[in-house]
Amino acid sequence: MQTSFSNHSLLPQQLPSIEEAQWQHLAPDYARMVLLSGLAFWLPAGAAGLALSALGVIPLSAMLVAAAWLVLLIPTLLSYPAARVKRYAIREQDVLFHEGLFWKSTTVIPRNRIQHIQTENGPLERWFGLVTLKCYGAGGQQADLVIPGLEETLGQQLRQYLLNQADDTENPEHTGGDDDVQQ
Amino acid sequence: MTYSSDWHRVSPLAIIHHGLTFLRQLVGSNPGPLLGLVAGTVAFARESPLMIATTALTLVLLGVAMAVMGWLRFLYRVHDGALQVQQGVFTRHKLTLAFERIQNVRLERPVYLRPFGLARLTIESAGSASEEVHLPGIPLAEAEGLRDRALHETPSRQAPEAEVPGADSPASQELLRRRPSDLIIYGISSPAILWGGAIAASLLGALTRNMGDARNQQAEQAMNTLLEAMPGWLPDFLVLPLAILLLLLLMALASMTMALLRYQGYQLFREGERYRVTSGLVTRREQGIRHQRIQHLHMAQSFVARLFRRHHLSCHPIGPSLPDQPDGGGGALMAPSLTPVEQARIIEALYPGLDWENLRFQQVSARFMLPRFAFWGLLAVITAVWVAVSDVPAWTLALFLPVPPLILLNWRRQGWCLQGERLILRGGLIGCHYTLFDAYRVQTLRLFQNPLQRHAGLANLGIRLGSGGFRIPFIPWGTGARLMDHLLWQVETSRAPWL
Repeated sequence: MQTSFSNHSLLPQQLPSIEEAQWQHLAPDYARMVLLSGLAFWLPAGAAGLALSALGVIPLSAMLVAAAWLVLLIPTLLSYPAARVKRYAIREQDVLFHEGLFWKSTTVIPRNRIQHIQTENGPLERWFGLVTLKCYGAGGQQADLVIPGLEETLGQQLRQYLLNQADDTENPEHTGGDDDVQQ
Repeated sequence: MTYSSDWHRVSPLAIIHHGLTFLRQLVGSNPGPLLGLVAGTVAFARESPLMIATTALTLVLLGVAMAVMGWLRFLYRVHDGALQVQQGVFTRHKLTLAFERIQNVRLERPVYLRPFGLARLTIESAGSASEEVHLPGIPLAEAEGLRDRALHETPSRQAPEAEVPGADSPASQELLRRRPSDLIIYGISSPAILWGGAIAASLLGALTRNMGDARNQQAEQAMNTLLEAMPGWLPDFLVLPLAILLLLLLMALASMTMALLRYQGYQLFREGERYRVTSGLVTRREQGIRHQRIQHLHMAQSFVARLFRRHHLSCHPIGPSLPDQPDGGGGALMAPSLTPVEQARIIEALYPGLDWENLRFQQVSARFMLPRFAFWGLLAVITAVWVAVSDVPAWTLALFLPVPPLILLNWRRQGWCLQGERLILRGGLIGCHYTLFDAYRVQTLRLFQNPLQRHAGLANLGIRLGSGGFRIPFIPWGTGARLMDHLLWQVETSRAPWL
């Protein structure tokens, strides 16, 4: 079945562009949280490795262990700037998410393709008062778009806003609160 | 047409189905561990046959008891515009599947059900595999009734151009019919042959592993006797190529048999807005899908199929995309071994007005080859060093000779074409495959680039539909962004039902 909409004469430069989206940064606490959770694992792990090597439990020199530890620490340290470049944009018709320090990506999910929305927060996120917003499309097993590090009230507002919009256009008798968007 | 029923039980013959499914899962996915288990059991049986016998008996009895309990606990009914199923021996599962959400229906008539006028019905929804309903062993008339209902039920929010309600039995038009010769071509040219190879390799691997422990010498002896039995005129260096050739022949034969079993008597009908396929030699299978549910079309031409100028076509409904499987893979509707004329006819039916012959594909950047050259180059260097320092024969390096032309070919195959509201992607190596879909089916778009691509101003565009994900690699960033904007605009302005 074909769409009833056709509009061939529109010039490409007239289309709304993803490059002009108004980007919002994540909560400043998010970058701190990511760094903290990384360090919370790697600092004790490094200390334990050095201790084991000093006690002679593992047959590797302390220098080697320290070097390996430093190399493994790099991704954790980079997670801080990586978290700071993550940003999102909510447009009239779609939701965008941009991430990546070196490997950059921009993901878009049109709002009329969102089937299901979920907010999640783990213990550490709760401590920082943050939530992760997940948007699911049809047919997949995983979330299509994930926005981490939103302040809790903002996250709930966004979820509600995206649900309500879908309700208004798709299914007027459906009231918000349920996570399923009726299509 | 409001039809509802009380809770029903399926026929006890369904137990056979459950048993067969269990066995197929046990053997099909990985026969290695099972063979090991059997070998271990046989070895153990020599020591204490009684214990093995009692264990086996207990296991069989338990299995039968579970199957019977499973059958007793399996109930289904039609209620309130939905199909409801309860099942589970220890944990009860209840599933309600509204008819309007059904994506795909499959009706099968295996040999053991046919004499009793029974059939097996599989119904898939847009959700995950856990939302699939199998009704193994229900009367044929009832299965047909449920199928018709599932395929005709129109979603409540129907677009105006959708089918006219009340058109209960639209005229049936035959689109395609397959002769055994077509199926033989399909057998030798389909990816199923690779599956056969993988299964054979894993069987061989398991056999050799199990022989390795105690019967190494026996195996060696057997090999030697086999070599001695070879005719004297056969040079030694021909033994291996001949063995490989023989294996390939066997695989091709197996693949052809599989194709004949699966697709014998293949017929594709169009009935108004729905497509129906009947096929199968031993198990008669009937599959139906509504036109609107088709998310994308895939057309594959392996290099063998290229020699015959045939394409294998599949229509994919929503759902997790499964790899190519010998039996057609999940809910996809297959049209095997199409000649160019048949292919044009089917594409015209599915995507009217698409000028397939005159599509102009955009090439991707030649830098597409760089990471591939880097990978294989590194591998070649490592091998060269290895050859230099140890006694690995130097001809190993010759194995890398076909790599550069293959990479070049792979790059030449990559392409994309936006024709009106449709996007067509091309890929492949020696063979070629196409993916075709309406822009409004897009669910998620992702533009991404690695540091080197960014340096060159290139990006990849990832496109996810309900039926799977695709990628246009190494296109200029600006083109990618514009294509993304265009597709988004198509999706966001479209009112057509897309699920």
